[in-house]
Amino acid sequence: MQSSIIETRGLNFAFQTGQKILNDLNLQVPAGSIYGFLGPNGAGKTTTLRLLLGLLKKQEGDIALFGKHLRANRLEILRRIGSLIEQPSLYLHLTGKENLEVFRLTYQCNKIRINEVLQLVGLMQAANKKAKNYSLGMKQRLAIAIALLHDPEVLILDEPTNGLDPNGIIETRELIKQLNREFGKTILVSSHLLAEVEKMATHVGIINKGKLLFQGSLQKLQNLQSKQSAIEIEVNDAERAQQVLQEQFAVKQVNGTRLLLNYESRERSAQLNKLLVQQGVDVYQLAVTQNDLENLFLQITAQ
Amino acid sequence: MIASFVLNSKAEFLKSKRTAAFWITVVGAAFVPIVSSIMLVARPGHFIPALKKDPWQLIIIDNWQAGAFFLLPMFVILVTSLVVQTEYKNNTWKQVYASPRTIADIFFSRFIVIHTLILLAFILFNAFIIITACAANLLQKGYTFFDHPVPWKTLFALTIKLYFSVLAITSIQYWLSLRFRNFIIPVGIGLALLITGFMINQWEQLYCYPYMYPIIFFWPDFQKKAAFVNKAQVFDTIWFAVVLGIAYWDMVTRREKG
Repeated sequence: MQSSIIETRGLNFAFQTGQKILNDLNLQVPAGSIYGFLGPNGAGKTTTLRLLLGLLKKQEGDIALFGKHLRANRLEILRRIGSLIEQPSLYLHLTGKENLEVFRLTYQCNKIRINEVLQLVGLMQAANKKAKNYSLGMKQRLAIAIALLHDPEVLILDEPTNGLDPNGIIETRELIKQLNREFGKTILVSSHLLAEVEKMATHVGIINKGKLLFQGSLQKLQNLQSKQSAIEIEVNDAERAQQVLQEQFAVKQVNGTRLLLNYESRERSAQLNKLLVQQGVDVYQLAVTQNDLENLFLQITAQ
Repeated sequence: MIASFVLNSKAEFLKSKRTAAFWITVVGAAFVPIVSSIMLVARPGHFIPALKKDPWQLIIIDNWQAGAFFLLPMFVILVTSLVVQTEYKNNTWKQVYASPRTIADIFFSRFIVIHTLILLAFILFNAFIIITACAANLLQKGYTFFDHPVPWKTLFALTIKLYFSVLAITSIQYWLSLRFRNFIIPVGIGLALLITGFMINQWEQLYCYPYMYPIIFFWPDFQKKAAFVNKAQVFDTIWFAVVLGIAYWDMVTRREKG
């Protein structure tokens, strides 16, 4: 079993107004994973990440990174973490290289690292350009380069693909996967897009209204999704189709010419189609319904 | 720990490169000496006889008099806010706090940058006084700047005195600049406190009022009242240390950083 490199226990947080943001959050990020921290806007993702970095004062519960308590070992822990919280934090009047130099002095790492990380994020050509002239994608990559400068074991990235064009999203995603695969970084990455997380994460934590609804491997999430998935069929005669299917399949819902059934397997879907066609029902469309984040929340909370 | 503080202070200096804070230091220091030299060139008939006896002493006092009353405190208010504003403007506070730096390191390294810029302004101001006076002398041969030595000791003593006079303002403005994200608020408060100082300049206890220390330490009328100036010096030190302590405590205990 993989050990947790980031762990929170019973984490609660409320703003001064009394508005509760986190409710008994128990996060466990396994070492070597890409942990997709998934939730809609306002769910408490950024608050959690800010607490992990010591940017917010913890109110209740425990935060441990690398098996050490954050409060007592803040500097030691921060030396082993690279972070990008919300939009990129860059000195826009400085060049890309100068931005890296500012943080290189803080992290006291070798000068050679500047070129290494610029190379890694593909910004070598723009190194001497002022950051204010960078596109959003370039800014994001420079921010990731800053996070990587001291070769940290853990990266905490808050919505790193936010605001990027499709190309930028793919590039950032590939970079995150590469950092995990080739350099063994543990990456905690937040997002409000399920599809985005599914494409890169090995583990997932789903948060809504400050509560962790699901936590586990991506495989576990996919199993849960397939269990809860449905097949939607569009036919010429829904009533007849329901009669044909009722002995072998459980029809959940009929809506006009559409029927909704539980998804069982690919083979069973083929059988279903064959049965309808053999009994003279025209099948216009047969599809497994996509689970968006909203549906997933409903399914998880319904369990 | 000291090595880390030195490196982080170096990083803070790098951040001020090409910023408004840096340019205001250079341009601000040049402003009064340039205007003064234009007057020397434009009105030789008036100034050549007036500066005949002790030209350097008079031109130095004249320049500092113009600069010390309003421009110096105003410059301190602006430069302090601009240095801190670099982080707010770029939304970089969170990255600063998320890096392995102690709060003391973050707090004092920036304060050192502010003081270095103020000292740089003093040095540049003095240098510009000398350069522009010499330039005026080249254009108007009647002046006698080249015949007299520059009174370095006077210049140095005056600079130290005026630097000391703005210490309390730096800590008050630093705290305000850290407290408010909006640049206008610390500058506005500073300006209001400065103007209030001019309005209450007849007050007997003016020695307690930090924004008037540049005038108290420089103005000849106050120099005649040694006890009053001494009291102002004591209060200046107290204001500087106490407000700096409060600002540091405020940063340490802040619930939300960045």
